[in-house]
Amino acid sequence: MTAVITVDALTKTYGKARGIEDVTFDVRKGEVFGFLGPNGAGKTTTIRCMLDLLRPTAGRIEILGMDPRADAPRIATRVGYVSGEPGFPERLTAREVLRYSANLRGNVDLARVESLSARLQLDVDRRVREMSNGNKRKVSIVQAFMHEPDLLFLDEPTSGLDPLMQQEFNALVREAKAEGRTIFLSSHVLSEVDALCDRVAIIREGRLVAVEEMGRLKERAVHHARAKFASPKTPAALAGVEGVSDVRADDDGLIFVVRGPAGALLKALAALDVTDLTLHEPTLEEAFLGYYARPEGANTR
Amino acid sequence: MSQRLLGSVFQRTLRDQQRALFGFGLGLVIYVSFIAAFYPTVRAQREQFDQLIAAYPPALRAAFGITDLGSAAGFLSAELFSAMLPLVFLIYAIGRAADVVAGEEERGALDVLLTHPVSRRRALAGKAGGLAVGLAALAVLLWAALAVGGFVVGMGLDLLRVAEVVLLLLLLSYAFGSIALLLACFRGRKGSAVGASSAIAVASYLLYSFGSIVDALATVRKASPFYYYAASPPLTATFEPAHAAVLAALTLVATVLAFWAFERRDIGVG
Repeated sequence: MTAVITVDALTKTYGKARGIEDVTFDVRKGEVFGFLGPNGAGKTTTIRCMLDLLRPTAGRIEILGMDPRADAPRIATRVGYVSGEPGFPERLTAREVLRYSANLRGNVDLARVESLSARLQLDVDRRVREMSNGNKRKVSIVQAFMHEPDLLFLDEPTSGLDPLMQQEFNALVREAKAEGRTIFLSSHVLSEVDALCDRVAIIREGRLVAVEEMGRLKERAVHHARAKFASPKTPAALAGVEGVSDVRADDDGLIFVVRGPAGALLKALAALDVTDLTLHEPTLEEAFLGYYARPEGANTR
Repeated sequence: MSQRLLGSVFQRTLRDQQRALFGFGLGLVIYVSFIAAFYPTVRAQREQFDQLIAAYPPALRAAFGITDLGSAAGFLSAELFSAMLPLVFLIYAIGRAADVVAGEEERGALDVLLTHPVSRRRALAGKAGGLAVGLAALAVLLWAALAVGGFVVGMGLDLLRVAEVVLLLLLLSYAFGSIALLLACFRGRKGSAVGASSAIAVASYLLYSFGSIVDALATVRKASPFYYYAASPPLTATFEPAHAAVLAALTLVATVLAFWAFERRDIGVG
């Protein structure tokens, strides 16, 4: 598949912010690509480099086959952006802000602007300055989607939105995907990524920890498990079994955490006269913690 | 199409100035009217005023632009053009220039603007152009207020000379406005851009003023932009095109550097 975004060994260091180091990934045409990490991990820095707002210290970026620096205006015609902290000419009403946006773009169907505003229940006659963060976010979302861009950068798009609007937003993203558009979605809200994304990159402290298919991520994730045995067992029984950690004993048997494939565990349990085994489907949060908890350089397999 | 894009940012910048222009314009008209209304009194007591002025040390008179209070031109130079008008125009120019780049940047609006199909160069051109036109509108209004006020109280002003001094004032405000623009484009902090350009303006004013009093500073004062505004005032002396050219050149250099800096730096990290 064609790469819509190519980021190669991207490093950005500046001021007192941590920045990002040696980040490499690509995003394929038509996928929803999640960019997951806690606040301050470097998500916004990465997005702002791709938008040519920040200039990389090192590395290479290609967006829609073009160079962000040299072709910024041409790229911008095909890109929509929801900023993490959207700002506007503050005296204007939402309608005026959106009209200014449409004016700058020049190829916008104003009926689409209206239908998007209506779907998000945006009061377009209010001054942006008087709006809550959630409503400012809505203005930003309409700005990003109004010109039906081929590629969308969404930086924490739903923060401040109420649950109903989050659903509406999710619907917008799914529609965009169905129309063949590519979406780059940064988030620390795991359920959002879980619901929307095909692949996920996880970033921590400025470094990319993993890029995975959504399903694989869950597979590799942390499972909480419980095993019951015919006779009582001490935690030592599972010592040294690959992928198993945090073993505790209680009245019913052993409770522990499994990372990665469960093969080694099953072999060990079979030899231990196991009567019952429960593996909990991990939430994305646990999947996420699975990557985070791993010490530097260690491998789960 | 690109022309229209430039037009959008330009128009936006002009519209964003509406309130400020209205406020400053109204203030200017009221102040000019007040000063003009005061003139007949000064003229009636011309002799006393002249004696009073003659008692000042000559250097002080020069420093404060006081030549001949009784004449309309001397009166306007001293009351308006020596300090008050430069102050008003510089406040406007410095404040707005820092705001259109660094203020918008701090509010997050510059991010959003630059992710539209507008290059940084065009965005800055639209902003600088809108600002230049806003200041020019203020200058035209000032000229008109002086023309009307002068006519009403019978000052007998030479309106071409008034136009010349207003032009110098406009160029002075362009010069300091472009310095503020440069600092805002260089670092993206509104507060520091306003603070540093104001400090440069005050230092320039002091350098020129002291340079007019202290002989040792007579040459050094030529380093001050105020020299090219005030050394040969069109109202009481003659308009020096070369002085206007120096201010225009300073504006040009600072503006070119502003584009250069803005093109190169990170947006929104201050």
